[in-house]
Amino acid sequence: MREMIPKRIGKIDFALMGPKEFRKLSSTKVITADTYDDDGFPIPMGLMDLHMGVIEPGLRCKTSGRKMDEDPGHFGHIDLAMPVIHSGYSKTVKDVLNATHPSSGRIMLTQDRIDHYNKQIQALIDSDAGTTVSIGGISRRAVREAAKSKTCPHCGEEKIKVTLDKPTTFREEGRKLTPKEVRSRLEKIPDSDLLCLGFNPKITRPEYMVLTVLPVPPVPMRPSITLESGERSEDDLTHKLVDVLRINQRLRENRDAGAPQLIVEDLWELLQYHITTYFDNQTAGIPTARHRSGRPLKTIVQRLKGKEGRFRSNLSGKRVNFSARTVITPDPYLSINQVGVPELAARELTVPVRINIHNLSFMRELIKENFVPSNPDKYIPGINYMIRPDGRRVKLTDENWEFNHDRLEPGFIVERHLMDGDVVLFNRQPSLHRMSMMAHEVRIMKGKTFRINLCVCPPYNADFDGDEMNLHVVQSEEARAEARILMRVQEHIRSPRFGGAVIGAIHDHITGMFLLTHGEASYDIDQTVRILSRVENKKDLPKPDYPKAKGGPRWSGRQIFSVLLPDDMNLKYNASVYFADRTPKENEELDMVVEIVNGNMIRGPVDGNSISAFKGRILEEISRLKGADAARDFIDKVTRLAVGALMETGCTTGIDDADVPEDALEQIVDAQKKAVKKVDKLVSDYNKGKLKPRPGRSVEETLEVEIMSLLGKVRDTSGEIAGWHLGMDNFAVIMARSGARGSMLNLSQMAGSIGQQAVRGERISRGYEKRTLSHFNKGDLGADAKGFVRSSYKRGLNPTEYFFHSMGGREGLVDTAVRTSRSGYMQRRLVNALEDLRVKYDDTVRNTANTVVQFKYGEDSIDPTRSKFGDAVDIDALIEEVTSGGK
Amino acid sequence: MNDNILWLNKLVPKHVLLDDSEVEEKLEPLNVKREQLPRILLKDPALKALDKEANPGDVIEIHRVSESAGSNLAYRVVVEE
Ligand SMILES: [Mg+2]
Ligand SMILES: [Zn+2]
Repeated sequence: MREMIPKRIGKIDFALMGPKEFRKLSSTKVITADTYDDDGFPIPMGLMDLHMGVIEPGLRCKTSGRKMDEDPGHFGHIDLAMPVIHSGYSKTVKDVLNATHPSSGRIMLTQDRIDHYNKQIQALIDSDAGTTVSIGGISRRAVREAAKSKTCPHCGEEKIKVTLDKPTTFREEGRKLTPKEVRSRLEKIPDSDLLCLGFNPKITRPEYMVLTVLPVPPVPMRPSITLESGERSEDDLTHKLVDVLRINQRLRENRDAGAPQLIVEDLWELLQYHITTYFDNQTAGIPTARHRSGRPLKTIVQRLKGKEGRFRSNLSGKRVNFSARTVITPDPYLSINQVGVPELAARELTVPVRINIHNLSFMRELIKENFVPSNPDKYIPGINYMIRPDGRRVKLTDENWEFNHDRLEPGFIVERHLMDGDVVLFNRQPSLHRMSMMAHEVRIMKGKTFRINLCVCPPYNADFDGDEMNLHVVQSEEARAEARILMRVQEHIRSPRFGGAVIGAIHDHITGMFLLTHGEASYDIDQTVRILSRVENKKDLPKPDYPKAKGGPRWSGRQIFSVLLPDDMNLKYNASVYFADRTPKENEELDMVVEIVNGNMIRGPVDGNSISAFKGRILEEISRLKGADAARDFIDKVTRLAVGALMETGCTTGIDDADVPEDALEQIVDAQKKAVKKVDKLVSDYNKGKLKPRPGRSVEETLEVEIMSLLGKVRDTSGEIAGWHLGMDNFAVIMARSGARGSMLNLSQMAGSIGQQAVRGERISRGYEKRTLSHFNKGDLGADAKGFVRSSYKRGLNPTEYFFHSMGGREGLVDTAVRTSRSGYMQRRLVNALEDLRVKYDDTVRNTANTVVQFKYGEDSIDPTRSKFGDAVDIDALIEEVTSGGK
Repeated sequence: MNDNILWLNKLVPKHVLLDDSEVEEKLEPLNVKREQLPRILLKDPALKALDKEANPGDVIEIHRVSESAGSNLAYRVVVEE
C-alpha cells in the first residue's frame, strides 16, 4: 500500500476545530436521515453515503476509490439549523462569558494586566517550554481575575453574572441565553484578548465551542451489521446521528415556516439533547438515550472510557489467538524445557506449515489420520484448515478431506495441530521479570492440565495449589527461531539480576541427593543400577568403592552422583550442612566439606550448596562454563537421580520429628526461668532508677534493648538444646540443614520455644492503658506481659501467648499486602520509563530518539547473565588454576 | 579542579569542560553526535563551580566512580533549559 510509507511527525497541534475546517475535511454533506434504499444501496447524502467509505465488499469508495478493507473512510458533515453548545466545553464557555463583557467582547482586565498575562504566555510559547499545564495555569489566573471585576474597565458598564445549568443551559439573572446568543458573544471577543483567555488565535476561536456544523464519522467507524434474518442493524452512533438529522430537519422546517417561538425552542433543545448524548450518553443531568429495546446507547465517550473502552481493552491490552490457559500440575519426568500439553488443547492450537516436497507425504498422512485414525488411542496431530496458494482458507471436513488430501501440493499452507517438539511460549502472571515468559518444547499428554518440571517453579513463582498458566503458539519461522535462541528455559537458568542460577534443584531433589550421597551411604548392584537407569549414562559403571562388602560389592552414593559431573571439574567448598560454629577441620572430619577432583566426588554430601538455585556451586560451575544445554541436562539428570534415590531410601516427616526428651524440655524451661528472672531484675533496677543508660540511648530504650537481647539469647539456647536432640537421623533436620525446606529456627520453634513476638521491631506494647492485656498489672514490663512466648508450637500456646503471636503474625500479613501493591506500582513506573531503551551494537544504551542514556552498558559492558555474580572474570578460580599447575 | 567547596563532597564527581577539539576527539570513537548526548542544565551548581564559564552547547566530561567498572567517563551537553 502506498499510504503505508512511514513518516516522521514534525508537530501536532491540539486545538478546537472550527466549522470551516469541518467542512473542508468533509467528503459529503449529509442531509437525509435515511440510510439505504429499497435495493439495499446507500442513499446519496444519507448517513451511509459512499463518499464516507464502504462497508460492503465489491463497492468502491466515492472519495478515494478504494475497496472495503483498504479504506479507513472519510468524514462527512451535517449543517445544523441552529447552533448548539458542545457539552464538553460548557464549563469553559461559562468561564469565558464571565471573563468578558458582552457588548464589546473585551476581557474585563485593564490593558496593563492583559499585556502582563500575554507577555508571560508568549514567553512560554517562544521558549518552546510551554505545556498545556503551564500555559493553562496562567490563563486560568487571568480568567479568574477578569471574572472578579464587576465593571468593565474598557467601557465602565456593569457586568451580569452568567450561570450554567449543567450540562448546557446558560442563564443571565434567570433569563435563558440561547446558544445563538452565546455564540455571538464569543464571536465578539477580539483576537488580541484571546491569548490570555487560553486560546491561540492563530488556530482556534472560542465560538468553536458552539457547534454550527457537526462532523459525521466515516462509515467504517460505525458499520451496520446484517443479522441472520437478513435484517440490517445499525450501529449506535448511526442511530444517534439519525436522531440528530431528523430533529435538525424539523427544526429547519419549523423555523423557516415561522412556527411559534415555543415550538422552535422545544425542537432546538431536543437537538441539543441529541448532540449532547451523541458525544456522551452518561452526561450528568440529562436522561440517557436508549435503544428501542431499552438498552442504553453506546456513544463516543462510552466507546473510549473505562475497562471495556478502546484504551484499556483494545490498545493497552489485547486478546490473542493461538493461546491456551489451564491449571498446572507437576511432572518430574519432564525436562525443564518441556511443557505437557493436554490433547484437548493441542487439537485447537495450530502451527502453520508450508508444504514442500519433503513434508508433503507426511502432511497427507496427517490429514488421513485425522479422519481415519489408525490407532485411536495414540495422539497423532491433525489438520484443521488448509490455505490454498491463492489465499483461500478451506476447512477440512468429513466430506471434503479426501479431495483436499489428493490436491495438496507444495505451496499450500496447512494449519497443523500441536505435536511433540513444537516451540511454545509459556507464561505465568504477574510477569515481573523476563523469566516469567519462557519458551518450552511441547509434549502432548493425556489429562487436562499443563505439566511442568518442578525446577521451573521458582522463575515463574508457581505452585500447584490451583495456579493457572498461559501458553502461546508461535506462528512464524522467525518467531520460532527467536524463541528457540533467546527464550528457551535453559537460556534463562542464569539470572540477569545477579549473575547466578535461578533454576535449580528444589525441595525433594535436594533431600534426595543428600540421602544418596551423605556419609557412608552405599548401594548394592541392584540399587545402583535402578538409580542410574533413570538417567542416560554412556559411561561404564565405576569400580565399586566397597568391593568386599557383605552381600556383594557396594557403590557409594558419591560415585553414582559423579556420573553426572564433567571430567574436568575440580571444586572444594563447604556443604550446606556445614557447622558454622565448628572448626574447618572438625567439619572435614564430619564430612561437611565437598571436594571434587577431576569430576569425581571424593567427599562431602550433595546438598543445597551444590545443586540448588542461587547457591548451588556445581550447578553454577556447569551453567557458567559448560553452557546452557549442559546445565539443562545436569538439572534434568540430578532431579531424576534424586527421585531414584528417594525411591530407595524413603523420606518422611511428622509431628514426632519435633519430639525432644523430657529432660531437654526441663533444661529449656530452666533457661527460660533464668532469663525471665534476669529480665525481672532489669525491670526492678529500672523502676528503682538504678539502670544506667547505654551510650546514645535513653533509660527506657536501654531497658528494651537489654531485655530483647536477653530473650533473644534464651530463644537461641532453647533452640540449641532442642537441636542437640534433633540429629541427622531426623528427616525434618535433614531437610532444614541440607537446604531443602525449612530452617533450624522453624524446628526449634516447634520443639523448643517460639520466643519474643514483635510489632514494628519492638516488644508488644499496644492494647489497654499502660498494659497489653487485662491479664497483667498496669506498668508490668516483664517478659510475659510484653509478648514473650515460652511455649513451642508443638506443646501449644496459652491464651495470652496466642494473642501476642497473632499480633506479630498480622504485622507480617499487612507488610506483604502493602509491599506487593507498592512494588507493583514502582515496577510499572520503572517499566514505563525504561521500556524503549536498547543496548546498541556499539554497547551504548540509547532511547528511541537515539540519544545516549549510558555510554557503556552497565558502565563495563558486561552481560550479568554471563558474569559470576556480577564479576566479568572469576579471578579466584583463575589463580587456583594457574597456581595448581594449569590442571 | 579549583578549590570550590562543591568538589570537597565525595558524591560530586569531577566535571571537565571540553574545548571543541577535545569534544571531537572524545565523541568520535563513541559514535555519538553532540545533540545525542544527555543534557546538563546551565544552572547546574557543578558548572558554576568550574574554572571557565560554560555556555549552552559546550560538552562536559564527567569522571564518575563506577561500582561495576571502577571509573567511568560520561559526557553531557550544556543546555539553558
Ligand atoms: Mg499458588
Ligand atoms: Zn475512501
